Amino acid sequence: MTNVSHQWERVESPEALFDDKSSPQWSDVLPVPALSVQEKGLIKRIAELSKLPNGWDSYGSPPISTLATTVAFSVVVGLGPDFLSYVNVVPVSGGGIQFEWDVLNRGLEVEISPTGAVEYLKSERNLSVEEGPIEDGSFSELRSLIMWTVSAPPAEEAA
Amino acid sequence: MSETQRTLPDYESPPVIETVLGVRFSPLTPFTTRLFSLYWTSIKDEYPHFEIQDPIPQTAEEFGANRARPLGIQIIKGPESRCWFIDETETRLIQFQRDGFFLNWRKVKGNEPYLHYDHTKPNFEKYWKGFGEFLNHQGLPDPQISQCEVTYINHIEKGQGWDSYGELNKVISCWSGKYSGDFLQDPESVSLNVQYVLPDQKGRLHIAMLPAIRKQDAKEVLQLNLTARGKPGSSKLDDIVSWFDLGHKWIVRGFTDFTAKDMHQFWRRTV
Repeated sequence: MTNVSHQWERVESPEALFDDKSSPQWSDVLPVPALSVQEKGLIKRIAELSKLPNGWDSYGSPPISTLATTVAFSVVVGLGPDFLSYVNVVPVSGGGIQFEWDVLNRGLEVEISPTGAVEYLKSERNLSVEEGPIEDGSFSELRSLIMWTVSAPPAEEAA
Repeated sequence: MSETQRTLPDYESPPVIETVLGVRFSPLTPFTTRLFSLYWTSIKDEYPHFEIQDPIPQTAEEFGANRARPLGIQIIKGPESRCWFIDETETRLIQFQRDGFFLNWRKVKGNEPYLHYDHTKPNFEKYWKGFGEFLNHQGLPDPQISQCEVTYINHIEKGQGWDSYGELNKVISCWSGKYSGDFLQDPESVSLNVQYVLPDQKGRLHIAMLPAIRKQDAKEVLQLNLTARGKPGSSKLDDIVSWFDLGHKWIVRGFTDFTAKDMHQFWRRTV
């Protein structure tokens, strides 16, 4: 079983963390030597979201895809507790899942599509300032985006 | 074997969530991915879904001088992948790769009754025979078995007999939880890997325990894996099944010895 570490850069892709199939085991678990309360809370939240039924959004959305759930789990464990303050996790119509940071006048949305692809959207004072894909395993990029968001200056200073 | 004939330790509510019976063999030659689809045709009624996975690396129990043999690079021509054939209930799986064949049973909802070895063994015999006939029909010889493997995966949920790693002695019989001094407090986490040699070096029993979160319901569990692996007397079905019996016995008795008696009551031991 693959060891989970917070040294994300060593891992080739988010799925590689938890989808190691080098044994005949079929059941899925997250091997977690030590998770923080924050990480456990988020993992519980993602597990709950993964059980949303067909049409959960009243517009016929499929449930959250297994791939999106797996990548979301790996984002939580890969980022580590220091980067998980102020975050909210919400389902996305179509079978995806989204992490949202909202700090003062800055916001960051990290959307995991049903295929497991990860994209981000940065905003400041409700205006989009940057968006793009996050390559597999690029946790340093994601951490930089979170750092930018959580270091938002107070409103009067920004003005 | 009927329930009344069971002599090995038995539990009404064991923590087993998955079992695997499998064999490793010399790589099939020639081999093409077409074999996957042809084999699937023969079992599609019962296993209507398939997935492609990376192959499981070869693992063999070695003893004596062979054990110290450095790992070499194995160059094999042909597709290196593994096919999963999954039944409609998603509780049964057949895994087939160029050098391996495994049958899995697992719980999905969590409340399904445990499928005893008396059911999984004949099931393996049935599909292994069918697999051999399929290979012969494709002009391939009977597989030359290098290893047999029996694996039982247990989930011991937090809150069901234990609440912290300081209480591991409530789960693991040989873990005292006591220190020589008073400096260290309860561990934050514990992982274990233990190996035992089977009689006459017929293989090994591997016991691995690691803390995990079950993806299905995000519950914290101690995942206790018991794997017995070794070489059968020959590649004949009788010898394979005979090795499975040995491996199964070591897993069941090993599990019972390794876990604490209070947990046996929790799992409602009957034999």
